[in-house]
Amino acid sequence: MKGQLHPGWEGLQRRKLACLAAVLTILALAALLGAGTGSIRLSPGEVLSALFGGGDATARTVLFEIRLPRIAAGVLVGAALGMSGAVMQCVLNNPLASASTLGVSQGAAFGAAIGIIAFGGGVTAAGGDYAVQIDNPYIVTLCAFVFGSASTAVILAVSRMRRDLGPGALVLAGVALSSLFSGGSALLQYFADDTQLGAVVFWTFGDLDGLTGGELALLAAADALAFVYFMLRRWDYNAIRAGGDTAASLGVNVRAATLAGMAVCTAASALAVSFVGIISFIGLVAPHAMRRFVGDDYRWLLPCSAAGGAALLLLADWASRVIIAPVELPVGAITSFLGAPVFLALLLKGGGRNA
Amino acid sequence: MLEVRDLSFAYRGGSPVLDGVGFTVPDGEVCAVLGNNGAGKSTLIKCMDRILRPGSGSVSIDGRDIFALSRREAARLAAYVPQTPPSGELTVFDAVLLGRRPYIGWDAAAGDKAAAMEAMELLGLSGLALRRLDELSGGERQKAAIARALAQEPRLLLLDEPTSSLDPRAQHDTMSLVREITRGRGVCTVCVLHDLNLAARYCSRFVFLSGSRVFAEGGREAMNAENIEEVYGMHVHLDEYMGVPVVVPFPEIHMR
Repeated sequence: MKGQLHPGWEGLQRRKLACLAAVLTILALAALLGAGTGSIRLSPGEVLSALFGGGDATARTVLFEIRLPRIAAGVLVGAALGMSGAVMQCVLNNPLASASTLGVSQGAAFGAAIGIIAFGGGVTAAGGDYAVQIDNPYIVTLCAFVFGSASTAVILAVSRMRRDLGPGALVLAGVALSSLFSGGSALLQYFADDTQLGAVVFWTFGDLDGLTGGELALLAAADALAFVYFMLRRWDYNAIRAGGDTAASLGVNVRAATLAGMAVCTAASALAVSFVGIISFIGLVAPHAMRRFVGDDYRWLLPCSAAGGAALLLLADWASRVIIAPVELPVGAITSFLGAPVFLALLLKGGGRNA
Repeated sequence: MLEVRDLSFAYRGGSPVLDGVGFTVPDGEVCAVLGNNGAGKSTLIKCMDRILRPGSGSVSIDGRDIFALSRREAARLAAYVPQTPPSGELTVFDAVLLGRRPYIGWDAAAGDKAAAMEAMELLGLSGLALRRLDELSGGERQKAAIARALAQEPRLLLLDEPTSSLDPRAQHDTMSLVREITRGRGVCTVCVLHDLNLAARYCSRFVFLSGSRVFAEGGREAMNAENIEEVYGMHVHLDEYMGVPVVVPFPEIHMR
């Protein structure tokens, strides 16, 4: 056996590959399901034939104009939140870390409120499905991005100043920032007029609909860059999980890897949230669900968390449309219903030790 | 040959933890770093592996200065085994394979996996390869950490109290294994120890740290009652029982 490959280990790698394939299959099925659900129902067969240019014109229009952009948004946002959650949990050495628990979402909501109310993102009442329409989405998105990033910057600064802080303390810092941002949002809303108020509230619900092709392309580019960066660093993340000193002795620049990792996570997740509104807990649920199958091994955890986050968000979006159809529930609320129990379960498992 | 020269370190705004520390270790020998708590033993090991950046001084192995190398190159020369054995959900194989990180580009090559296998075999871990670290005993996890360090194929092996979490049997197994590997591979090993008897039995070089400086260093002749009494502030008697060196402390005898 000396110098030979370990047969059992190769088998284990194949099992992890099978897990990734299974998650991707679930993702594809969720996309198919989502593409067929809505005011005009399409069977999976109709979806597939419309996708390849067949079927009737209405089905094609519905699919390409409405459903596919929505699915693309779900996949891109879910993947960004899933993989950044996995990396944040590693570099902060904190099982409870994710974009939503560290206050990115609330920061982004506050930023959006500023954009809509203070910087006059502009709101006009419109008919149809939407009570309100945001006139200048770019200023709103930009503000949401800036304030979403600001909250992680503060958390990161806190974690660097006091290295002895346990997992619970960082989440508490996230809670403190979240309430600060919520307070700020409440104040802004107090001085807002009715349409502005409606726009802010609607924004915070989280909505995968209505992203333009350009916005989707931007999200896709950010996702791709973040994913490639994380995969290049996957051995470093495994080393960091083995302990900071050990990682340093293996040649990892731990400080640089942490700062760069958090910067990429924050940029990717804040960008995702700033386009679609508050979507919580995907970054917490997806990595922890995947750890059960592929272990704490970032070579596999990263792609699985990205795919799992995407599948989870698509399923949540589908659920939001069918629970009391034809009413569409806010997808952010659905993911919170899913995430809060997982968060509590992690606490019970001891994730908040050393708080 | 390991040469440590004039190594100094202080935490930001604090008094020096290491002050002009220097010593040498020939190839194939295990060197014990001895001294009281707070004498700077762990700090010394961490400085030697660039986990902490010393204010001044040099650490060279075969004439190559560790601090002049890139992180990756330095990690190929020196390996470190921390005081607390690793835990977590990684399998033993994956944890040992991490030792190949300084050699891995995009992914682990067949040679990396073979090196990990060999290291596991050397420590008798082959049967546990697919078990998760957190399912193992403290001794087995300590062995996994040593296997990971060996997979790095270092010239310098740094161990921070490798026996602190082990039962007596495992302590002796680990130390005799460390001595065997050091001799067999001709590497230099530096090992922080609290147990004077383990040090006397398995090490052939000794560095006594006291008040952030080297109080004494050398071969077996340095492991004498005077040095121990001066560094630990405790009366001791050195003897040999059936060829095994023993250190018997007499803390009840007050020293002048």
